[in-house]
Amino acid sequence: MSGSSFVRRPTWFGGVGSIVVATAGVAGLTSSTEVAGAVVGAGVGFLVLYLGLAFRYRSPVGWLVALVGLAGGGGAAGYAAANAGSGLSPAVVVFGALGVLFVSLGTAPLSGEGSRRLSKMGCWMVFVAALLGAETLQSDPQGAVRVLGAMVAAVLAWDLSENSVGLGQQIGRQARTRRAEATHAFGSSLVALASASAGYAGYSYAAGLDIPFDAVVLMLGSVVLLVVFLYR
Amino acid sequence: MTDEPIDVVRTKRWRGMAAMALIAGGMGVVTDRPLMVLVSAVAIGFVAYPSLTGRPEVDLDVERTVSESAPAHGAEVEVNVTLRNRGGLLSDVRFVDGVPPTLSVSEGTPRHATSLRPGGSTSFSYTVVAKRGRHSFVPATVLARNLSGSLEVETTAYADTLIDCASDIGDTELRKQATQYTGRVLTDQGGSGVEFHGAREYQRGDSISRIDWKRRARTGEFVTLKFREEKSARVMLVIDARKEAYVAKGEDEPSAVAYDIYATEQLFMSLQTSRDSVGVAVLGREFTWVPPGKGDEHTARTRRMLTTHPSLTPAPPRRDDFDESQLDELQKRLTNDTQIILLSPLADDFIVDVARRIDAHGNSVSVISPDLTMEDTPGQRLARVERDARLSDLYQSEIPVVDWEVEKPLAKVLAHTTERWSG
Repeated sequence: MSGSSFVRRPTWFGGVGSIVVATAGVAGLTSSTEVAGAVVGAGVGFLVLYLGLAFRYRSPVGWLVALVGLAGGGGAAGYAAANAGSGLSPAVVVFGALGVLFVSLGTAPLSGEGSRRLSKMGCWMVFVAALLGAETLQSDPQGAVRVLGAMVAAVLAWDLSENSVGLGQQIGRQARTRRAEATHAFGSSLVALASASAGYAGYSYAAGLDIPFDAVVLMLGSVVLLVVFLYR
Repeated sequence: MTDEPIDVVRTKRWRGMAAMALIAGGMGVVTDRPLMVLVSAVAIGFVAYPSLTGRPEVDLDVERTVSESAPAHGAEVEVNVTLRNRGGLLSDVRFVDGVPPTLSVSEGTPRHATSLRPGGSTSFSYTVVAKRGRHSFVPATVLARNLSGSLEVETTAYADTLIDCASDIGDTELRKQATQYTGRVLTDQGGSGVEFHGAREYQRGDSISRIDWKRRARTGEFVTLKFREEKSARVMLVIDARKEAYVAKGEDEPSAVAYDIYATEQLFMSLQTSRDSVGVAVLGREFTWVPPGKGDEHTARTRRMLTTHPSLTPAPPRRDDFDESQLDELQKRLTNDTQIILLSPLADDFIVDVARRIDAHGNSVSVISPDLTMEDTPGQRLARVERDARLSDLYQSEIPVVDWEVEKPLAKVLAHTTERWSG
């Protein structure tokens, strides 16, 4: 009775936000504007898929829109992967695009109240894309920035989509939640920016001074352990 | 005003970041790729993030206004809620308003999420459809998260609001157990009253107005007429709020306890206006009791208990805190002339025993039972059959039962059933 207007579905802000962020991160991995454009095209396709799935509750046309989005997004992703060729492994694009697809399926939602597992799986795929990018972009002068961008995207998409599903379960899609989500996203972006800059500064410093890689790794390893134990 | 936190939960939403950091770092080391190690730096930041953000302290003022506090049945009532932050920064507050469980929301949503700076406020509104009866808002649920979302504090906030839509119940049929005060219960004792009971020989001291003067004129005898005496009753409304009683038709549907509370409030008001002494007792998380009484102060106290007491929250208790000592406590406190109206969905056999036991003890018992059973699955059908069996058990023990289909107004059901009782 009191729940008649209560729709437990992931909120718009986090859903759309995570798709946009993940797409931007993956697109940033490539130096070719053509490939980057195709990745953005795939992102737009998956956004259309998201909207189609979200509106299917109101009208069956939503299913049609979703199919068109899936086809368009898949096609653009395929084009990007086929043309990634020089300097970027096609696997990076494939994982990245699949990541965006999973994020949009988890928050659209594909079924029920939305799925944290599905969208987090998408974020893991963007993470894998960043790792594979790190492998292939070793000689790219802007490799560090590109890889960091993709990783930040993976983490922010994680945060936004998780928050979106959680808010959807507690408050619902109909309610006004934007302010809470924006504040939350602001906090996470600051942390992402700070840790990426710190990492980048350390990286350039070490590269400039020619500090042995092993020393950097040891230092980072100790930071990881310290943080993990502090967090417990 | 918000209450003390009920629960503080670690959300574990950042679980996975440490894995990302270790995988990226480890692979970077093994394959000798500095860029991979760089990737792990971002994840490390987010491993640390949750412990950098503390626990939110919630101190909210809730203000609720309704467009009409005494609407007609079926009218739309706009509810406006304002939250004011009296504590520190709240980056993420989630608010679920305590809509009276018996009313339905027709437009908008009673749920809201926002962030509030110190002293900041927000408001939102939604529309409910009024139904016959008095409907009190129940405590609202407040969830506050810290900036990283790693901790979630749950608490409740209460603002006293009432939607009073013409009384649902006119008269409540009571069983024949009465006090010495004049009231509505017809007794089998002859005396002064309005309904003819019998006649007897005149005795000194009988009121002159009760002498049958026509008979005196006809036969010369002095005969005193006796009328049925009407006396007032002492009534205890007992709510079954044990864990078993929290049955509902669906996840977001009001539980039987919500219907019980609603019915209790209606019955209480109806009995109060007819000079009966009414009290309320709750069997559930803890034994709660407002002794039978009358008057405005008593009414206010009872209403406050019904709307805010923790034993009567809309959510079922996590543990089963009920024990039989509550029952002993109730029986100890009942005077011989108190009758019981038990409100229960009759979801288990124990409550039937309770009704029988109290009835055998000398306090006559009536039962009002909201029917929340369904027929969709074999399990639900079984529950319905079991409940029907309990109903007939009670009939056999000569305990009157009102089987209340909750879609129907309580007044109609009561009128219909009490006709059957007396017929």
